[in-house]
Amino acid sequence: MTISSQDRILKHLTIIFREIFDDDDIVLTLESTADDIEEWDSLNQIKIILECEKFFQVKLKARDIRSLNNVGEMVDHLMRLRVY
Amino acid sequence: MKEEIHTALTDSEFFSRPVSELQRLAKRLVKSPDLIGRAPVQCRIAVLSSFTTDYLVELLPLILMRQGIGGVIYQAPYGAMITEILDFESGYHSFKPQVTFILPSHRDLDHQPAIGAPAQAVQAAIQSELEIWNRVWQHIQTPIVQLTFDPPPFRPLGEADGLSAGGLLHHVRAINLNMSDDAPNHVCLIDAENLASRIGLDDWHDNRLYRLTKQPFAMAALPVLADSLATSAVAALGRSRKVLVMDLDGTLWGGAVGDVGVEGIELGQDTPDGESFIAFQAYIKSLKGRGVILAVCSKNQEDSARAPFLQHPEMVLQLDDISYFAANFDDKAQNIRTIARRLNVDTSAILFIDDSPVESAWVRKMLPEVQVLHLSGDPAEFTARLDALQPFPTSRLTEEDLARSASYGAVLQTSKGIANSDDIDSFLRDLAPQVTIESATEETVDRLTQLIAKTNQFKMNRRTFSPSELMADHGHVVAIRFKDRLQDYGIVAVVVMQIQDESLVIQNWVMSCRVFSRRLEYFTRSIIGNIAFKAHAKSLQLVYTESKKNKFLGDVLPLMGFSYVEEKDIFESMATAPIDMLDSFITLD
Repeated sequence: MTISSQDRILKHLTIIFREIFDDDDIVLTLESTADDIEEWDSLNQIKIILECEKFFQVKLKARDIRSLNNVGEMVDHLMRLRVY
Repeated sequence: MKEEIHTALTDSEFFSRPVSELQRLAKRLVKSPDLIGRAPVQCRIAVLSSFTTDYLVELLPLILMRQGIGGVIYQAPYGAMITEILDFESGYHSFKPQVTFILPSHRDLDHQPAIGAPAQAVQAAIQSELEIWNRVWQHIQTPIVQLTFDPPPFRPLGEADGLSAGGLLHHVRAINLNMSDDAPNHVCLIDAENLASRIGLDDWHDNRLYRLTKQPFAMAALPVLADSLATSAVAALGRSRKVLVMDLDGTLWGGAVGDVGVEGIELGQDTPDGESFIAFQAYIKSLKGRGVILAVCSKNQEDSARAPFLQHPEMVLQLDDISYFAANFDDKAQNIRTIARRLNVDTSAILFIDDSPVESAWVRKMLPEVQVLHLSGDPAEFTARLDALQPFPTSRLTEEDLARSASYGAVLQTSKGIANSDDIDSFLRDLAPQVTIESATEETVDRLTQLIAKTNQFKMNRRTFSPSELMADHGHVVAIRFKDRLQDYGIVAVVVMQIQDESLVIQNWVMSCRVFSRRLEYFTRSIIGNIAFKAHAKSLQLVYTESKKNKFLGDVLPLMGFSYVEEKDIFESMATAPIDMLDSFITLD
């Protein structure tokens, strides 16, 4: 796993967040949590994960989806799924 | 931003868009309440369910807008479906909805009979389930749109699950049928099992999503579910469309009856397309049988248009199925306005079907409130495409529906309409029509020969030519190939000419009725004028033999500069075309 993988995943996550929240000003870091983005609730979390699955061509388990509480954890999980 | 929403709402491929995109557009739409406020129908809609409806409610405003409804939506709290209705002090009742959407699930069913239970026990179980619903329906006076119980995702009893007592699927089906019989008039049911089947049961069920968020079906099912709810809401509000206006050539049969005659149209068992048109007519006939009013709007001479109804043995639709028969060369938007007036309906109650992209685009532009289905491609798909629209929604067949088609039985004459000429001009110009002039070649000569022989309407006289005559060098033969932004029509006109003593003789000039109303005849006249000029001919001549089919040419010839010379029994014109000829906006390729 190289740093550039992490950066790429973070970049694509940012695009996905911007689409779903319809907000081009969103900036994500590995530390971003639901506290940083107003509309990020459990309902939107599902939409984000579904988009990730579609984009990265992976499938997450239900229990994993519920446990991903911040962007850093999402990126880690996606890296573990070897998306890049 | 509003442009994007408008484009999406009028996109005929709306349901092919990814659901995430529709969700994003729905979010955008909700940020523009003024847009929603401009929808022709404003409606207060309550949504109650035993499962999570957040994603559905997020998408609904977009789907409702597409059907012309600006919705204010109340979502009942999770799990409070029955209680909110039974409690008159609830948020639901305070909201005073005009339409209520109720979405239960098979998980709400409590009285599934045991395996092998006798018929009485099965009936008793059904009555117990329906008891609560009868109470619920009594607590609501305004229209209800309710989803029937959805098919369960698993069948532990295998095939018996759906077919025998004791199976949950069987229980669901039995309840749904009984519910349909018992439900009062103000309840419109949506067949959930059919909805799920159309998407495909594997794509409908999403067990993971149910575990995560208590929505039992996949996100991809949301648009179609929302659309079914919206369609039923339209019916419940009394706004469903009532009239089907049909083109004839290429829509109810293959080919142009004005060109090929009744014997030449494709309708019947001998070709795949012929069979498709019969099936399509049969589908339309069954629409009529349940109260949809039928009208014809065709660009044809009236006797040509009626001929198949009167003479073709395979016609399924008959003249007395048609409440209004408009066959003329006036513009279709004006004809549709007339049809609406004569049938005493609003134009917003009309669905118009036509195989021509040009006519479809014209009517969409001039009458945005008319729903237009452009039937392109394989006629085998026509029935499915019309059915998929469900433009005449109803879940209850009322006496009124069945009587309506009878009362509109009279066939009326159409009057001549006047379209705004600026609108037509700009429409024709926007189509960017283009002509290519060709001479007769090995590849095209058969088409030209056939065009001259078979055309009946725009044809100067009965003279025909053999392929070798057209290929020979002695005369000028000009083939006109026509296309526009929407369609390529191929070779649509032929002029066969000869120079005789400083005069250009038009031996014959034919044009396919497919390109009537495009003013191609005026453009062709200019081309002929140029050819005469280059050949140093000072005048044009032609023989016009009047027949039943080409009578209208008597009016068109003077507009192109021709006048009748009695001593020679010909029509003559100066070489140059009249200055005030109508502009066709056609360019030469």
